[in-house]
Amino acid sequence: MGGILEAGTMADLTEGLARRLAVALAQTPGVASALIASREGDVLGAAGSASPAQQAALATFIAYRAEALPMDGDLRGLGRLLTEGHLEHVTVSGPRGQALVVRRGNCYLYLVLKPGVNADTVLPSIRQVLRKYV
Amino acid sequence: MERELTQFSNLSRVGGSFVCDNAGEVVVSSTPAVLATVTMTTIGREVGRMFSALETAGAPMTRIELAYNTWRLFAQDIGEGVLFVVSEPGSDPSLVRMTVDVVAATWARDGSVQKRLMARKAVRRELVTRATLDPVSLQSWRTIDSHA
Repeated sequence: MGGILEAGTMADLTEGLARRLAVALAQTPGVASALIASREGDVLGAAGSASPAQQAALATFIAYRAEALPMDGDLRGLGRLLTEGHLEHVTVSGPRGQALVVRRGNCYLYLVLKPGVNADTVLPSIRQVLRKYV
Repeated sequence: MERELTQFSNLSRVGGSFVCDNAGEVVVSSTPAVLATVTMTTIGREVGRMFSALETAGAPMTRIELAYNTWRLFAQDIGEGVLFVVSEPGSDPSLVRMTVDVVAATWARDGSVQKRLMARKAVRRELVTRATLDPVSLQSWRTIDSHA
């Protein structure tokens, strides 16, 4: 699973490229909608998203909170692993299905999965799409 | 609750587990504790904020899994708290999820566990305050809330 996020940078991602990437991600089997947000929570590109501004804010909020976790790790035992850790992705699951928050360079992706689809099975395909674009 | 947490310690590449109430305070942890109490509390609060944001956005979730390059965190909403499992990247996520489901179901049926959790009842949304968030997170929260 490692390596999905660390390579490449999307710091200079244009909105046109972000839109194309969002469309490609939304066409990935198992993905219902895709959104790309800047680190500040602005929408860079979206495909199939009913509420892009809210999903961009949600992706940014979740990612920022997730990135705050390792900052407080002590250096004993597993605490060292926390302190050295870099966020790759967050999977959220509930009665309505699953969604993924993925960090890629200076952007966050918010991917809503189709009902019954497990994030574990979609991540390899997402990795392939990201490699093509970034 | 302590007895059920030992089930996680028996899983390969799982470091330990703990439960936080909805204020982020540690209720119980596996022995020896997987992390320092202050670290577990930080996790409890930050993940509580994530659950609160998802609920406010109209997308309530019951489980959050965080993948870092060096570790994994499984967080299961158990009503008046959150069950956390900390593992290395090589752990079997399916086995962890199944054990989480078994433990959560056991606790849901256990009156003494529910009483213990209810005694620490708290509102997750109260974890989200201007003082506890960076400017970007605060702006994001406002956007989430305004679209709710």
